[in-house]
Amino acid sequence: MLVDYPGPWTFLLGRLDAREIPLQNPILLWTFVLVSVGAVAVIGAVTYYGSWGYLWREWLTSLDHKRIGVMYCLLGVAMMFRGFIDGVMMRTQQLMAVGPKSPGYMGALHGYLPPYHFGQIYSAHGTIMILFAITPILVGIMNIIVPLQIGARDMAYPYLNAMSFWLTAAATGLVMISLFVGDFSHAGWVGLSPLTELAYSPGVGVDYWSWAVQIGGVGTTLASINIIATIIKMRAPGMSWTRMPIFCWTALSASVVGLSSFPVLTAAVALLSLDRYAGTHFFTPGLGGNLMLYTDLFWIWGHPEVYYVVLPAFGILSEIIPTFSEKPLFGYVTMAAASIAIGGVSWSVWLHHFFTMGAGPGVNAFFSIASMLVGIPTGVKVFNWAFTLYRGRVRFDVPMLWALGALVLLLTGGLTGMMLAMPAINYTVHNSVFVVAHFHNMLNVVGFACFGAINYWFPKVFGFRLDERTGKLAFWFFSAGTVVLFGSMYALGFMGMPRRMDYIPFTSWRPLLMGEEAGILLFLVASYYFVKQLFVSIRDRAKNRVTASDAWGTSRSLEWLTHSPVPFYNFAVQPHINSRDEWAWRREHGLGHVRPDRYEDIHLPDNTPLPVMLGACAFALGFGLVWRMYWLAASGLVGIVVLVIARSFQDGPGHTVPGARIRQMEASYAAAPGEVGAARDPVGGVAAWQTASAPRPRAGDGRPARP
Amino acid sequence: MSIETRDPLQHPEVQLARGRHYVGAYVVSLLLTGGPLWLVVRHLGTPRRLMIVVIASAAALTLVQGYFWLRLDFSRTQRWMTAALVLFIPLVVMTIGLTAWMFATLYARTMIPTLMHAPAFGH
Repeated sequence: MLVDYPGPWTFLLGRLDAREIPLQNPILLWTFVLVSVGAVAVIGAVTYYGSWGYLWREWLTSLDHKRIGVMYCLLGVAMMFRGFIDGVMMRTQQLMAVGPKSPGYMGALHGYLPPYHFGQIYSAHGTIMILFAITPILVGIMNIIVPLQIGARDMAYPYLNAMSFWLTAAATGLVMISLFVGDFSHAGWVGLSPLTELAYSPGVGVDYWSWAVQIGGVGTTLASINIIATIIKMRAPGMSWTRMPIFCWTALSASVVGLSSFPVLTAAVALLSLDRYAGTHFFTPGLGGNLMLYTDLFWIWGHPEVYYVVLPAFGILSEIIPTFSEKPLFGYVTMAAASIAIGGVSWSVWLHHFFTMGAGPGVNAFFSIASMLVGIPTGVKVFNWAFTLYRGRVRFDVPMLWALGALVLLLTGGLTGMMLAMPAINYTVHNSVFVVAHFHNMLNVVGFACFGAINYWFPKVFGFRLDERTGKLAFWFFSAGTVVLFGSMYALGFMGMPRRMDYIPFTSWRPLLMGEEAGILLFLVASYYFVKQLFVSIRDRAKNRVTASDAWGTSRSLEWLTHSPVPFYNFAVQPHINSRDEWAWRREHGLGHVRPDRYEDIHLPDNTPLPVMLGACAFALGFGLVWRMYWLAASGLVGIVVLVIARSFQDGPGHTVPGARIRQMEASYAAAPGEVGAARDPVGGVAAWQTASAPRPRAGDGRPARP
Repeated sequence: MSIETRDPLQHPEVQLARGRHYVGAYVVSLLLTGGPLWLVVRHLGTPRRLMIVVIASAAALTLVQGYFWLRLDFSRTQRWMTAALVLFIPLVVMTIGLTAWMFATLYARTMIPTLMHAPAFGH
């Protein structure tokens, strides 16, 4: 106990006692019941089907970049639903709490959420959606696609890759457990300073937020390192920089941004934790501290983070649009340059998040101009996409619908971004829901791209396409929801409605609040159709099975060269790259299905439980620190150190799959394309090409000779 | 493109390691850290001069550790790491420089002028 805080403390449980379990709150109680029933059902099903061993061997301990990518995406989609439910609760509260005569329920004066609970919900919504939903989904997609697009067997550091995922999962676990044990931060996803200081937030909510952000931040930083190293060092022979797919360019740019910005967030929040735990005064207003320094540090990360998520989204659009326009991407070089330029400029714009701080006009002018400069490379991209569509044979498959929707949203989001880049306008609409509408508009660009990517690459990963009809319904309802919800929100912003309000004093805003609620109900319908799309597609996977490597017939980049679903070794032989759009080049030259004369042995890393254990230790460290159970935190930390040391002593030579075995597998695939995948496996193709089907290493197998 | 080796001990980064470099860099690091600390603790110099000494020592420390510990040079295996550092420097300069600029104008324009002359700020 380094600083004073209210409430009891015991050695064993720290600040935790039975009263911290919010049984008195009916919303949380029923959520707990629902989650418990769901968990029992899942655990029961896995036990009933005897799948624990399979789950452990093939997924949880896997170092395969595709499986780790799928787990990232599953984590992100699950958290997106959680964040979405938070959004529904916020919109509903705001609609119920309009005017002084609006009734209150469940302890609230107006509406059904007391201010403190409302604060936690909007804080959780933002934190989850940005850090634990969109970021994992994008990292997952990059994980799956980047090695395939550059012709690599795996990521540069498979072990680090698994570790990054499990650290992210540990951070997510902290956010989720805060629902039922203690509470979550009420200080916004940005950690409004000095509200996050111990004097103003003496509970554990801010601690949950801060440790989740720090652990997750480490995971994302490591993931960025991995993607950069993979792209720089693992490209197949012949893949020069100018032959690299645009998605890889955007992944590279985004990862450089991630690597250079996430440590700033981790450091800023670590300093805040020192304030809260060690009694320092980095961000306290007084005693030499400076609360705006926190805001400054946060946005030094925060704005590059916007490009960290938007750049891969741009890359996704650059893959989908040429495929469904049936022509090459227009302006490849400018597209690649624009991706790097956006990443570069992203470092000089962060003050526009707090123009109203009171910096001098010269400073505001500099950041205003820098912010507008982002529009130039972004505009280049938009024109390139438009010229790709121009005179193309445009098909409106589900991925293309999402991509075109993203383009429309980029236009409105970009224009409102230009408005916010002007300090004069920014002073007027600062802290209003206009800002909220703008960044939701932009993050919806990312969301649309993610849904597009899931539809586009699903057959590559699982061997069968997602259902078109329900996919289109999901798209149209989601689009309608976006227009209705954020259109209303833009208007409310112009009318002066501040953000984060749990009570709305003006009844004249009610119609637009109803519009917002209608919009989110449309999102609810879209979510239903998205889940239904997954269900129907898995049920009818035999019908939607992909028999060729190219699921769309007009794809262009290298990942479409290998089978769908992708075998665990990715490519039977390392491809030699001849063209910028390698798969399109091979298809046009009649080389799409040429088989090699000779197969070489393939060396792959062994699965290991250490990353899962590291994640568990990181969770224990975070949970122990949140509740100031110092023995638990110390155990977690010692566990991490021991596991890292153990890994360095672990003789992990990996295993070698003989060329003859590869030939056999390739032949079986050629004889019955598509049969190996979806038909045999209830969850699709990734599991079909199991590493278990490869020979396990014998003593000395693949072991390098000692010098 | 990359050098194929499965033995960690054969990695160029590991092969470049030299015991005397580690020890030498450690001793120099101690001097470059301890020296400025001693000057500050003893108040040997004006705040401005001390600040210059601390910054210069930190810069020298970065170079010493970068070269002798992290092996940042222009050899084939290490040039990407050196490039990463070189690319990183503008970011550090920009973030710290722009932050200093914005806070300088903030203090001049808002509530902090009195604080700027407080002992905590060295005035």
